Amino acid sequence: MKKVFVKGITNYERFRTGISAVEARGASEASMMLVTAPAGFGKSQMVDHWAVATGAAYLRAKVEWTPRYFMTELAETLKLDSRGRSKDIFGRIAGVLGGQQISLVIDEVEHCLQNSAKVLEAIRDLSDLTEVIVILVGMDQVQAKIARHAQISSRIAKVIEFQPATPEDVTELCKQLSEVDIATDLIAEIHKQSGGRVREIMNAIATVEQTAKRNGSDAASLQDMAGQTLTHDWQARRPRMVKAQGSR
Amino acid sequence: MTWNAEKLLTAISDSNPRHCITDVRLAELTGLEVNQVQQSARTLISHELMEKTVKGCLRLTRAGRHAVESGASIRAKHVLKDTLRVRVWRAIRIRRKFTAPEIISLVADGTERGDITSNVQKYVRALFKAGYLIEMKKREAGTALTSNGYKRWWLQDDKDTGPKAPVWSLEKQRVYDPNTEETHDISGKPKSGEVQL
Repeated sequence: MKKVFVKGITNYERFRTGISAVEARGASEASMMLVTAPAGFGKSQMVDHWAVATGAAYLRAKVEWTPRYFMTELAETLKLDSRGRSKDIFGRIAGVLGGQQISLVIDEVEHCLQNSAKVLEAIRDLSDLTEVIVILVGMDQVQAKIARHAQISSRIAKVIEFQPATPEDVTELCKQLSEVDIATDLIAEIHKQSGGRVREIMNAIATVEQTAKRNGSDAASLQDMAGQTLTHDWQARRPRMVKAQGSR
Repeated sequence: MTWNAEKLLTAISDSNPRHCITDVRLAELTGLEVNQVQQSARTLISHELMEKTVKGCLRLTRAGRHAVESGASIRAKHVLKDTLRVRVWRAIRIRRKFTAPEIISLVADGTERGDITSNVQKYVRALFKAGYLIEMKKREAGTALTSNGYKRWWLQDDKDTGPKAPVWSLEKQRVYDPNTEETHDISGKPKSGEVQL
């Protein structure tokens, strides 16, 4: 399977549109963006790719985070002195983030909501002060939880909810990632079985490639995959087989 | 780019400490509107980076001086170009445990010249030899039929020296770290060990 970042899909467009909207805001307006999706929709890959391209500071939130722990970790990521009083650390961080306009990514933001969301308030303070873009990444339920804290949710300029991949997205992913040609009927089957989850689509493409190569072919159709496992149904704990054409 | 709050901090820092700096004076010094000055000043005061005396003069706190100094020190240093290796180092810092193909899918933007897979693998190997990475025992399963799988690497927290990418020189067989200003000779055996996980 080819190792490339696929841009021509709808979730990428959603993400880019969100970033553009936040970038175009006025200086005094909110500069936080929330990205949510269930597991397996490709949000980490998307946000990581953006963080790498822009040089954003990236932190994965931890259950044990307190405002002080968060700031210590951020200072260490930026290679700043993390000793001293909290307000001194805050000052050093603000100087670098604001001075360099370094964006901030907080993954697994659910962990910032404990203890009256004090960590998220510290993140909002940094965002307000330095005017840099802050991207919060979390599971699909996190938006409702953040909405309980009006002083934070009012600072979120944009919420991007990743959606299941469309049939066109699956076609694009197959085209760009697969080393063999995948027929339209098989693409439709991958879309159906995966439920639009990018992780499962990638696994299915790898399986199709292996089968095609084993058969000495550079193409694969639904018929070629008949009787084989394409994806795995994790809830029912069983593999999803490709039915032979004409069978019920 | 300068943020409004920094303009205020820098203006006060550069002013004669004997002078009383008011909102209006700050607007003159920074070129901002008075209401912009007041808004940023409120934020800075609430974060204890600035304080207002009883006479209404604004002055920096110790944390405010830290903010000015850390911002200035960053700007004074040479900023590295956005090269492939810079992006690879950023991706490694984000992922921590990774395979080369994982990193390639994050850094490739279609503008690279030459063999990106080979470039990334060689850079990762150089980082391993210089002691930044640990090679993990278990390999990631490959997608190709005959694949032996992919090597997995680990950047431990104490080896993450900072945001600037270590610079690998093939000719000199060494890696220079602009974060620590140390140079690692990689002509001999690797410094990192292998761990069983």
